[in-house]
Amino acid sequence: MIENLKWLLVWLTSALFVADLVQSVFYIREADRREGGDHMSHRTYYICLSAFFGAMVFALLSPSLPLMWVAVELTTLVSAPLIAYHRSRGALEAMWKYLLICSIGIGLALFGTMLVMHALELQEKGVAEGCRMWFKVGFVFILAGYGTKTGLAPFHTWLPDAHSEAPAPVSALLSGALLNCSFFAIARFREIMPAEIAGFCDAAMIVFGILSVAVAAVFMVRQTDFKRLLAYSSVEHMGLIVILFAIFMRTPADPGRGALISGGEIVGDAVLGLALLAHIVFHSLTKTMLFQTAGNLLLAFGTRAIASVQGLGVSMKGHAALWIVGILFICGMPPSVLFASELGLVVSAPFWMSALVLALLFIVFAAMMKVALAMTMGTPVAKPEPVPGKMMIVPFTLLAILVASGVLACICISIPGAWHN
Amino acid sequence: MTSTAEILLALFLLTNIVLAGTGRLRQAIRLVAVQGWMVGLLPILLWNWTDAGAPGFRVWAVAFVNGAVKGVALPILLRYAADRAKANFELEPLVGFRLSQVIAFAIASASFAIGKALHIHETVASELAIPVAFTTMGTGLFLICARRKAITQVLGFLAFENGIAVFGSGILLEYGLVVELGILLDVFVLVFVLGIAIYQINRTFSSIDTDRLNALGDVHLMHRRG
Repeated sequence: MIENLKWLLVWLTSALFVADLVQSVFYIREADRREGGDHMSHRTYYICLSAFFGAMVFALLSPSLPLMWVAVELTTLVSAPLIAYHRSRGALEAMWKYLLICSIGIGLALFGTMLVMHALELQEKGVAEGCRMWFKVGFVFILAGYGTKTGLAPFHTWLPDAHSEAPAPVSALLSGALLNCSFFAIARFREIMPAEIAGFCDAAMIVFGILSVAVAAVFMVRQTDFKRLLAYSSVEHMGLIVILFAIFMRTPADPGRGALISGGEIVGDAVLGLALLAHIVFHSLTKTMLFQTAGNLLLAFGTRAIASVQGLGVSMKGHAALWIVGILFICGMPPSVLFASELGLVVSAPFWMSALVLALLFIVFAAMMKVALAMTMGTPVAKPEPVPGKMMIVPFTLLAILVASGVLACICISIPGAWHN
Repeated sequence: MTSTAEILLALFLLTNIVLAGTGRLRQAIRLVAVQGWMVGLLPILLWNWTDAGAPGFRVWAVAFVNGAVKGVALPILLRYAADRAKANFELEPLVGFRLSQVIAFAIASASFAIGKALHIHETVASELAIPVAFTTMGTGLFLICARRKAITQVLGFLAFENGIAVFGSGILLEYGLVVELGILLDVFVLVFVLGIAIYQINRTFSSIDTDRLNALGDVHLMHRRG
């Protein structure tokens, strides 16, 4: 599973980097023209953006666990200046919170890495009794540490501020690519845990996953800022991804449902494996499209307040289409691939977990649809200054990909007996 | 050599108690620098000279670079940041200085209790290393929470990192030169970026009081609306 995940994430991160780089070229120039004020130099911006991409790929492809730590810490360091591109008060506060909270989290992850490496040494020497405890404590610190960067509650507090204050292409990369890389770090450690503590690890991941979805649902309900809404949506989806991963690791491969094969050996249930990989990819693509659209809306209206951005269906039709379809897709409405993956989760999880997750997703859906409908329908309250058409190219391309793959996915899962093939 | 290491670790513990109680930024930077030197020296002192002979070039190189970065380079960066921000004293901490020292003692006691409860395998170099590591980590985290000035929060973070390094030395973890240098590079770049952030914050807010950095959030926004 880790091999599949690694290469998938490398491709995904590269694709997202290209998409956000192209959008940056248009966005940064427009943003400087409209907002003015003090901002970072363009050269520094592109250097940091490229270094950010390099650090993420380094984290994914790193040969050893401590090197992966070095790379993930590096992603924090090079992405922090990007958040404060505009040097406004809010952006500086978001950058400071991001730096401090993520660095402490990463410090805990380093501590966890040390514990796990010591446990591996003990395991090699054959000290079976002692190393179990080191593995357990190590995994807890890994989950807390890398979980901070993944945006799991209750360590997510930096996420809404950083993702809303950063310029749109940076928010898109943070939500779409960085959270996945941190999740990959957790997955990598889970893979090397011995079988005796597998149950404990999976239970811990499920607890944090459900907590993340719950916290996101609560804070989305009366949200006033549309970029913060998207940020909480990222918290929610990372929670779902962690839950899916934990259930995948717990469920043995069932011959009746098909098995996921990696490197010639069976690694787990096919349905859950595919659901997990699909959810990761399509959450990233949808979130990237949404953040880029949100960026365009921010430039047009000059504010992130939902109350001021209304009646898009009248004033900015293209963006209204992107926004409403994007929000519907991220909530898991068919024909979204996220519908298929969430269905996979609900079908495979124990009854109580499925019921709880569905109830929370219902709250999320209600909150997001309230905002999306308010923004796209109704009469405009402010007259926007429309953005150039070329800023819609990348979001519309992503939308086309999402619709095409979504239709395909929903057809596949509707074929009778698809779950058993 | 073990007794020298234990004396060093005891002094390390002392630096934490003093760090918790100081309100002068220069003194705090000096204490963190001293901790940095000790972190550099520790692997040499914990080395098993009788069994493994003299430590190789790699151990000396790592010790030297560790000491140079954490004991010299980072304090210079921090002093520069403090000078530019014209910050010399932590005037109104969230937790008073005497109470902070009591809390640091409490953290030390808890660390010794936890250290005893852990199953310490024979390969651990010194029984004192793990409690001292936990104390330093705890003190660092406490400083981040209990102080207002951004620079003191950076110092708390550095103390936290020093604690983790002591733990690594204590369990005799061997990473390899590249990883060690990678970790050091990360810490150095982090303090560099934090220094630049402090400069930007000072320029925009005319203060490095992190109390001013609490405009963003959801709870108070929701109250205002409803």
